[in-house]
Amino acid sequence: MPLTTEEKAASKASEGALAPLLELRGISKSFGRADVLSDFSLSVNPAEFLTLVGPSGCGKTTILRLIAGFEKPQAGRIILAGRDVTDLPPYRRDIHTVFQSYALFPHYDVFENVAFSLRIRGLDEEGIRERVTEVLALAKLSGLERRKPDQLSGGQMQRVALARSLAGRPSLLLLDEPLGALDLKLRREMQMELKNIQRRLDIAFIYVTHDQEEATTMSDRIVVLNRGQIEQLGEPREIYEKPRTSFVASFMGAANVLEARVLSSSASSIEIKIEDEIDCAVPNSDSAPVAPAGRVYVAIRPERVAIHAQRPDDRTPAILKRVQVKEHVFLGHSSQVYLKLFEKSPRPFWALCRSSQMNGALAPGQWVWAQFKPEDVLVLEPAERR
Amino acid sequence: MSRRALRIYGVFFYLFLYFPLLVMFAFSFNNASRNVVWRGFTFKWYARLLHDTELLWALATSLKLAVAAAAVASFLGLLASYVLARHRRFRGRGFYAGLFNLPLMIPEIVMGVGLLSFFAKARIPLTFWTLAASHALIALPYTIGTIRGRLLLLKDSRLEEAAMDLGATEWATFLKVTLPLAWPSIVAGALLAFTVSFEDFVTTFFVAGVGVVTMPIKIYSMMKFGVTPEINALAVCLLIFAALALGLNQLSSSGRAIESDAGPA
Ligand SMILES: Nc1ncnc2c1ncn2[C@@H]1O[C@H](COP(=O)(O)OP(=O)(O)O)[C@@H](O)[C@H]1O
Ligand SMILES: [Mg+2]
Repeated sequence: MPLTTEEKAASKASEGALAPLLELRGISKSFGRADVLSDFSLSVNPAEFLTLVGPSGCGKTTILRLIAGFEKPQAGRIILAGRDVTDLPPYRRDIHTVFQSYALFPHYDVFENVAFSLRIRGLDEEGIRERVTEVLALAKLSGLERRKPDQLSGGQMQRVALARSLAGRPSLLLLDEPLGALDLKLRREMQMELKNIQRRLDIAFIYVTHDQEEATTMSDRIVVLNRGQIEQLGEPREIYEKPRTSFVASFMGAANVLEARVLSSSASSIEIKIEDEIDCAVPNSDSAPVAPAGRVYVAIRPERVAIHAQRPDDRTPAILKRVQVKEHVFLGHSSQVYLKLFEKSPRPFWALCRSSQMNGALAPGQWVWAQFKPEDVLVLEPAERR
Repeated sequence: MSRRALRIYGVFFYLFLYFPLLVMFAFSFNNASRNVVWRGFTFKWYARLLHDTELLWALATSLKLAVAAAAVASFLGLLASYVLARHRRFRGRGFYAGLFNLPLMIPEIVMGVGLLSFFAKARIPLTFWTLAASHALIALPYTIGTIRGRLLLLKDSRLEEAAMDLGATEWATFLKVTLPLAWPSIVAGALLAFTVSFEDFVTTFFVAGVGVVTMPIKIYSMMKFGVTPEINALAVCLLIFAALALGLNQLSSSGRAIESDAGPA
């Protein structure tokens, strides 16, 4: 049974305004011998848009199913609005889910699908009509009330699934790759709408996707998952600009991941030699782990690498190297330029250049100047890890 | 095989299947009390059929029996299927699932003898109801077979989870989602069970009490005096009835499709 408004208010008051809406404390979950989560903790603030990203099979769906109550953890507690809901069935949690497959009731029309949770709750007929009409308008479905799910397009089914889970006004909505089945254009459109609806209704969203761009554009905070572990948690900009591990750097946006040797490190900077070729002094930001003497991974975003036909004569400290072009891939608004920046590195190194700044195509074998700033070299985890 | 040969084969195949029925159909209109020669067209066997009270009683008994057996088998079949489909893994699930199918494997004569000796040992008098229970037992694998498949599909579709997610208790979910969506398979199972009961001879032969005469038993006793055109007429009626039931079954099993949740894991 969802909480009444008074209960919500009471639990908010007793916990203080900044109490998390949802807390996972030390959750462990395995299926048979496969450990999916172990000692997993996460807290979600009221009305925030939190996104879980990670490769397929990393446990995103499992986390949502634990929160919704479809799975029971082997260890740990789940606290919703200050109440321990670990042992409560799904229908006693003030949480609704938008399923990846939509799971619309095929024997009900759009109106009855959306009215489902309201009827269960025993709302009177007039209240139901009012609320359903309101939610359908919000989801831009007015006029489709009497359609059956098999008479709807993919985008419309998605909207009905959303409307159905919003009708009951949960404090937390779980969305498992809700846009996964839509084409790109519709996806971009729905992303904006979802974000607007979330802001307007003040409902916390836990959103699952494996699309980093989607995560970056929509979220207040992002949780990057890998094999059931949190690799990094933070705001989209922070995740993009200060990734802590090579996994995060390459999963969230493109990155050239390289190996480097730490020569010395001080409070203000770290002196490294990248791929045994290029020396540079990287600012020591707080978020980067203090690199021990030894080898570390570093990342350079392709869009931070500039390519010049002639030697540039600006004075800003930069790494500048004359290199040969391996390949030039034209993408439309931009180009990927693969370079022989490091002779010994097995990994390809590429730069992303705006097409407007390139004078025609670069031929393989052509000599150019590659340039990047020391602060664009992101120091990641120690290289021994893998 | 050439197309032509295939066609000839097909014709013979269907002839082999349906020729006896055609003969029976034709001779049910034969104006002679012995079957062998054609003596002209008549409806009199059908008329006589309608006035044979013993036969009509047997028909009534068989219908009542089939309805009772179908009802019991569908209800028990639904419960068993629900458990088997809902709980993917419980100890001995495979064993129980197999156990439900056992009546299909056991020769009916063994089943008949087994039931008879059970009722005798337990001192349960043989009545209409013991026969109905026996028929429900042999029909149960058929209802479980049809209902269980549908429930498994339903489970994969996440519709029941969606209902509970939206606040429905297990019971409300069953009533509002599971039952309406499983309904076509329940009807299909019930029709199968009805047919199984209606045409059963062997088990009935053993377990029917003294006063209980079903249609197959009655026909059998009539046949002792040779195959009369009356029996042919009766068979034609049953055939038409069976065809109707089959059509109904086809209609009910083509229920609303349920999409399964085939998203990436
Ligand atoms: N019901 C289940 N039974 C067995 N293994 C499961 C089950 N659900 C998930 N898993 C396994 O748990 C892991 C995480 O799955 P999932 O949470 O679906 O990942 P994601 O949603 O991130 O792709 C996968 O390896 C998957 O095979
Ligand atoms: Mg998933």
